[in-house]
Amino acid sequence: MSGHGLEIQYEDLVENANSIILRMDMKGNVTYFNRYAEDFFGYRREEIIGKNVVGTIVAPTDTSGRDLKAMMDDMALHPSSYVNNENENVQRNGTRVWIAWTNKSILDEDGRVREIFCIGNNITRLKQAEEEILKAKEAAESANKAKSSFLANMSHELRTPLNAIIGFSELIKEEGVGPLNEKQKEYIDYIHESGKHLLSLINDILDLSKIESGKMVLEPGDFDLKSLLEKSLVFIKEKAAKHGIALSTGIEEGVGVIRADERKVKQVVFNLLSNSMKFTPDGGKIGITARKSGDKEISVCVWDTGIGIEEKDRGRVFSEFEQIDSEYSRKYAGTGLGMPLSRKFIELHGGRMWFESEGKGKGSRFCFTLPLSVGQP
Amino acid sequence: MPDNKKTVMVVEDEPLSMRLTIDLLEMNGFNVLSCTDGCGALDMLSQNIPDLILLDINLPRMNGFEVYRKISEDSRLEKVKVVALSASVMREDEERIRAAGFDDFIPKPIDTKGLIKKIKDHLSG
Repeated sequence: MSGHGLEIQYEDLVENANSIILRMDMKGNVTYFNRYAEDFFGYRREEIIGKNVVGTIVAPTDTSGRDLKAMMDDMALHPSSYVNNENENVQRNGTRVWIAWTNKSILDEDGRVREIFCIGNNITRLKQAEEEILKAKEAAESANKAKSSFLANMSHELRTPLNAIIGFSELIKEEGVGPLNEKQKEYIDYIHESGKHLLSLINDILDLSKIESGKMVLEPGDFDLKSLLEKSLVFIKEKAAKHGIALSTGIEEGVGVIRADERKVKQVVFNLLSNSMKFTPDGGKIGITARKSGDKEISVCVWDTGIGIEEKDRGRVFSEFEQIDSEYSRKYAGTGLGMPLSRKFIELHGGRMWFESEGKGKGSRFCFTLPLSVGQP
Repeated sequence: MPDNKKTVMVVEDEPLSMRLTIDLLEMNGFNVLSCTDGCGALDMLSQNIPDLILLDINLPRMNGFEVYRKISEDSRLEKVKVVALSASVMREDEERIRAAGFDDFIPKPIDTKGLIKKIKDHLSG
């Protein structure tokens, strides 16, 4: 094939390509405009050749206010910065479109840039989808912000009346304002406990929402797990004695100092123990066992001889706001958030939590594992 | 020993919280000064020097941080302990309070025994 024939073939290719192809000189005047460009922008080539792109297919400023005239001037000065460029263009009927351009400099014999050869593809739909995603993301972020600030405000507003409820009932309860008869003692206890209960609900809700938004961070430190477990039992000692419940510990050698978030571990152990207290009838037993399993983990179990968990209730144990109904559950029901929160605290440490129960009336065992040092595989 | 009584100043705009704190302090043998906003507190401090100030953060007009700044600029009040009280207990709130330089932070609702113990600890230290 002759050289001339090849040229005609290339011209044909450019002419019939399914892309916008044009050339312009360094002033921005169009020197070539292919058929696709004609159809796309709505100009016949004899109308546009010799005219400047600014004012025809380029609006002086785009929808967002960006100065496209300045961009074109800059492109003439620094064509190499615009090899790949996305910008807004305008069709003859005024419709704004987004085009992804690849621009190539055409040099003359002296090596000076003479013209720019531009190939463009319509990415308007892509840009619109991108904008919609961005808008949706912004909306989601602002909704999340609104939720956080709602929770913070709610927490603040509820604490103020609770301050009076808990505080004044404490003063009365301590008989600091005079002696109480039995009924008064009982009733003021109800008020005080209910106030404390409301407070733990608020705290649990805040914790859960922090976990859900990924804002809950661990504050790891070194502490003695053995002594934490023993001390936790002391907290329920009095109540256990009142109900004739025997407490026991079985903490094996090798359970000692670990690195974890002490406050959260304490909260988990305390939650498990108070659940056991709640669901164990008078005269029963509650215990804690702990042992090293493998060389990187400790497993801790809280067991009781309580009412156990029936097959049908198994799925609900770790659900939020679920409580297993029970004739044995003591005066003050929990928040219904204790178990899901405990499991999440353990999982944040990289541990696991589960329970075992052979059924109704057969007691239950709640166990969790903790790595010896949080954050280390 | 009425002369050895320590004086605690309570700055609190919410009437029930104010009443609770005052009664609690008086029951535990403290002299109590009180006012319901920051300006009043600063006025009162020009005449009186308490041993400790319980300062609510969420005050009208001048908030607890601003009141604290004024107090710490006053050399006469150098030895006065200032404890922040707040129902805003999110981590960021507490960090901001600690960073401001308060001697302590007590979240609301207050634990009555805990509050008295903390005050006594600060006054004996």
